[in-house]
Amino acid sequence: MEKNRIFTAIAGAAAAVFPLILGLNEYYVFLVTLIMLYTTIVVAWQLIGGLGGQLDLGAGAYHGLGAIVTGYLMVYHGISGWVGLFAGGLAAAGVAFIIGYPSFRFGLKEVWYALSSLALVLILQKIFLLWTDVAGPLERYIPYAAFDPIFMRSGYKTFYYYITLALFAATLALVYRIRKNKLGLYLQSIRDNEEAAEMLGVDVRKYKLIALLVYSFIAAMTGGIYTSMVGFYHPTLFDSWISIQTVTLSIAGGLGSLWGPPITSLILLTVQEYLRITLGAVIIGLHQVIFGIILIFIILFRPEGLGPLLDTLSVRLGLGSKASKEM
Amino acid sequence: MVATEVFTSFIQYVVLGLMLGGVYALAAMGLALLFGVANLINFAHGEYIMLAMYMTYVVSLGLLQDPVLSPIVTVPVFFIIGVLTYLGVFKRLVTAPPLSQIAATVGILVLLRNLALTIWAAEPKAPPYTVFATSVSLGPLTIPLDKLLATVVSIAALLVLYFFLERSRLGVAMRAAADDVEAISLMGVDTGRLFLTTTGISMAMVGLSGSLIMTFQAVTPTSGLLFGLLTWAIVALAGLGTVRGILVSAIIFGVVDSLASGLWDPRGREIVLYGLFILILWVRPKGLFGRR
Amino acid sequence: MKAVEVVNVTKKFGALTALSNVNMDVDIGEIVGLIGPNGAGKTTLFNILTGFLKPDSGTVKIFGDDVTNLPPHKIAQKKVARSFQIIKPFPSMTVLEAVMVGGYLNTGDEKTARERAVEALKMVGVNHLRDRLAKELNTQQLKLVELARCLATQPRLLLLDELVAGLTPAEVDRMSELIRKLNAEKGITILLVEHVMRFVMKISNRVVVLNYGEVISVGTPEEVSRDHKVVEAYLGTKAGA
Repeated sequence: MEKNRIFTAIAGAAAAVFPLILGLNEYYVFLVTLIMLYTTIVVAWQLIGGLGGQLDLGAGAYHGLGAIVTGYLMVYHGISGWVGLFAGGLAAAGVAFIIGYPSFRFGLKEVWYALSSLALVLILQKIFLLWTDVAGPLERYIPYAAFDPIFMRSGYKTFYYYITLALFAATLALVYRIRKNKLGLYLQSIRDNEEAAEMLGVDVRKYKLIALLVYSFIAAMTGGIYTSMVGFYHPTLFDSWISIQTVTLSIAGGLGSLWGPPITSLILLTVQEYLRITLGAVIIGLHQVIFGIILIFIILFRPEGLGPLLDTLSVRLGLGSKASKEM
Repeated sequence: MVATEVFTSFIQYVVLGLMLGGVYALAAMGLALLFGVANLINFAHGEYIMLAMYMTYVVSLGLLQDPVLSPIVTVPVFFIIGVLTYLGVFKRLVTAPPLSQIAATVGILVLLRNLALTIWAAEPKAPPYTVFATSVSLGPLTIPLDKLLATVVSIAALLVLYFFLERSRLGVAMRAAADDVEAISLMGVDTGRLFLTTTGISMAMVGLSGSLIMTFQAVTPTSGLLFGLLTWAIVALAGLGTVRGILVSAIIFGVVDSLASGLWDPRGREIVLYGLFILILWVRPKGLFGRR
Repeated sequence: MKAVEVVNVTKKFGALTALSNVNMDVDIGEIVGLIGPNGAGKTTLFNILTGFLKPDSGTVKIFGDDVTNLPPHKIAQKKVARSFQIIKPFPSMTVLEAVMVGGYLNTGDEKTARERAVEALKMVGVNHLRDRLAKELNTQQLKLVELARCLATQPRLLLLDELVAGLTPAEVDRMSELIRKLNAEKGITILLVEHVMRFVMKISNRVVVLNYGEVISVGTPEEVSRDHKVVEAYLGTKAGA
């Protein structure tokens, strides 16, 4: 266990000074922050998908909604991004409830939640395309400020790096705690056998909803941070690709594993960015095709994903027992 | 004067919607068949429809000038695509848990969508001139002949399917599989071959419906998502029991689609369609004509 | 107040009548056996008692509360536990975690849940398996874990669906002892569905016999085994067999 603490401390310290390591290069810091934002969604997704066993395809909807709400409040009402993050989270949780509540009826097949969460991405995109008072087809720009921490706006990407790091770390800690407490055990029992869970007194719908609301709240916050960082918002932020990316990375990382998904996410997203920089937009959508192939391959041939491999590796490094890695 | 014009407009859209629904029914039937018989969740169903639409476009630019003839190509080609998909992917998925089926077919979704994006880019593609591009007048209503023909073909195909399921040995086996797969395999039915054929037939229907839908709308790489959600929504409303159930459900969606596009805003049609889907989840998750 | 009161319950599946005007009850502290040929409606009745199915007509009361339209988790929260004919394990969880799910009933405290779980594991005799993953165990062990899961909820009423199917006679006897102990020491009311006659007849205070969805006989094990209606149900009559 001591090795665990040391490792976490080192990782934490490295993360804390990473922007300095990158020489405070705006572009690189931006990329790293972006990767960390998407990885945060992946970690939060473990609540509904990894523990809860629901194939949620709504990440694009919740992320987008957080972006639009936060952006709108900043642009048209001068409300600080901090408040915006919270408001965006609430909005996303509210919308999530609208599709989660009917879909999580005991006995209703999982495919309906998967479908309605995907539909949510598209509905919201179209709604905000038509809703010209709030969004519409033109981008809305957030006023520039070199460094306004109260408003949550800065021209320096490093500012957003640390906000994201805080959210990422908090989300990791949250999932780490939940997986062993009542909520976590209840969710896993639902994932493994809904009927048996019901018979042990587990209110299946209630717990799925709790997982969903927490995850959607966090996903929305990543959207709010994103929009403040890039300085504008637009309905294309409702992107089904974010949903699919989140699911692919989670499955590739291994649904039964705590560290698998975030590590896989950090690695694959970095590789993806590297390919984008070097190959450029040579073949549009190539990396997405690759993700599609990865998904099919893993489901058919290695459904446990990379998780078990990473777990074995960390056990060899002396970072804890096998059982402690399972979720 | 204005009132009757509005009324005529309304009826016009309803009639168009009925025709559209007839064509949607064929598209949804392929999905219902796969889900009902092989218990397979195909999340990429819409992408296959999109692919069929692109194939129609390509074929009518080249070999067969008139898109009316395109089913000659799309139906057999898609039957083969179905067989290949089954052998390559579905075969292993049939025994897998539903979440694996969803995840794997999402993989196919991504593949097909980006393939389309790469090959044809993002602008909408519509087939060129057809010899049936005229209209028939029915009182104050104008009925485009090509769309009417498409609807007739679709309904005919559904009728053929209906009799196939009722009368033929294979069809009866498929219906039995929908009820109880274990029982029929104990009776000596080769479920592997059965599911293979089911996938082939399902895809052949996709191929045909793709060609037919092209008379109503153009295709883009995002069409897949639209048709995927639409066909699943139709199945949600209908339940899996009957061809008739799927037809009625599809017509409801077709009329809603047409009215939303015509009376409100074409960009709003997806909001209405998916909104209806979510409403169904709240109110009638078991469908109108479900057998179970 | 009775532990279970079933009043005029009917359940149809399309043209098939699974239960027809079933009336039965279970006194608090009793052990009642529910027997009958295959397809008689026993599991359907269990499903109705535990909220997985709703009857077409009739009512069900458990410890005086009307539970006819309650969902399964609400019934479970009234301290009713049920084991399943086909075991339903939690494959990816350890045995202790799985049993703790039961232990968390009506409480949020981890210590309480763990204590209840460990007590249940010890009672059933599988505490040595506590850190093993469910997917590593064999059917026999899983059955015991499922029983421990039920017991961790500290039930007042325990519904057992074919608990001893597939066990050796020695294992059946051990199970009988356990059930008897649970009933005598913990005061748990027990209703069990069974096909293994020597187990049911030995352990039950009373027996209810179902055939084609109807109750055809009720009484002590001796009375019921002598009832010619019961014999006919199992063996068939000479005429029309």
